[in-house]
Amino acid sequence: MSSSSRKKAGQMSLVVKTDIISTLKEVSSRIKQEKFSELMELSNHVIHNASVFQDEDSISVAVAVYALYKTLSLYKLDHSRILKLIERGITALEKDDYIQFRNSISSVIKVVDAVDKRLSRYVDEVVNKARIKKAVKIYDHGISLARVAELMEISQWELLNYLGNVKERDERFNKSRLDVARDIFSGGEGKGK
Amino acid sequence: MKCLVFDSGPVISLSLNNLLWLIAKLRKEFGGHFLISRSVEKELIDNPLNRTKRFILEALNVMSLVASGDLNVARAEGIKEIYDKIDHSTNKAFSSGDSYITLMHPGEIETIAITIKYKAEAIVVDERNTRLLIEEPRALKRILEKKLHRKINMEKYRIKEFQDLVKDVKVIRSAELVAVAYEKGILQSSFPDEVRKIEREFDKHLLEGVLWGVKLRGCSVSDHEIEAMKKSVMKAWKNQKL
Repeated sequence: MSSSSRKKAGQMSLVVKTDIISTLKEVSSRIKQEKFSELMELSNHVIHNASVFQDEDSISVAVAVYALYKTLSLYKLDHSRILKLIERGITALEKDDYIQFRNSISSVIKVVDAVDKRLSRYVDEVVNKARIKKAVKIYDHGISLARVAELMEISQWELLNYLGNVKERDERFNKSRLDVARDIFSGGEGKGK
Repeated sequence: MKCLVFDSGPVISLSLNNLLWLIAKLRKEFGGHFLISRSVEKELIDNPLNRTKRFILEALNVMSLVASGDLNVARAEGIKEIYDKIDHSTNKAFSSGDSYITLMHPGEIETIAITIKYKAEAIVVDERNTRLLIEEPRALKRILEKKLHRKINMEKYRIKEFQDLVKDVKVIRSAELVAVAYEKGILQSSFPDEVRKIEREFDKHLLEGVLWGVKLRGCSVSDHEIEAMKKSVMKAWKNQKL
């Protein structure tokens, strides 16, 4: 039942595998059509699985696709190398060659990272930003902050800097919560007790 | 032992708003211990010092609070049984298909276990999901279903088991901490009188500033709540001044 046993075996659940293959095919098609803005939605689709299964593969694919969305939208690049890596990843996964699949996705991330380092004027690297953006998404799905930070291998300090962007439920004012706080702080050393 | 248990979020949120000094002031008002778990200490201090360059200074400031005793690292002995119960009743409560959804991190579980063990006055948690799990697990199920676009199963007996464990746990956030600090005049006293002379709406802006400050640094508080809190806190502050 848990995903950890699958992870140890280097395998993945059928749901995750099917979804990743179908998403990567969509990603490849969007890149060929230069419809880069649609990559963001595809990365969000994979992150749904990342929230449920909390597997490294869904997470790395979501991060890679989001980083591609940012990079390809910003810079005019030759896509052929990226497309080759994605195609190689799809073929590997279809043959259950998880090592080759993971190498391909990791290479996509490395290519994006290298482009970003070469061209970006900003310190905030696109891959790191992609991890944070996807982490915020998983938190928004209902997973606790510390668990998200652990999954995405980022610090809570970094994550909290971005959490203000999450739209909160329109929660009613709970006066009793404020009253609890007032009550807690009503009788300490400051009051001479 | 009179104590308040802090998750990492509120400490980070206060630190990122340059309000970490409030912890010592509030502890004095409280007259008890402010506890953190070992995992929270690791996240607040060890990780920034060893893993990232961005928050080293902030980590040193938190370290000063631990050194001065304004934050104490709680002893975790004797919490294993509570820890295991929380872990089992939360991380195996929600599932999609044949997969359980791991909601909670060991550090958060430890923080709740310490709160229960020490019968703390409250737990200070900023993030929405842990708070919902304690107060409104059904709302968390609705969020999971809405956001993940799939049916989520909630094992009610596990949620009941968890709710029995946390039935006496009260939850507050950094938003309530800054509100109380405002009502007690602690925040105002940190500004020189000249500022009040220059800015006629100083009191209003200060309260708005700290509430939005903690919200934008991860405290789960809605716009509506901030508006209502402002009215309630301003009223209390004015009554105290009279």
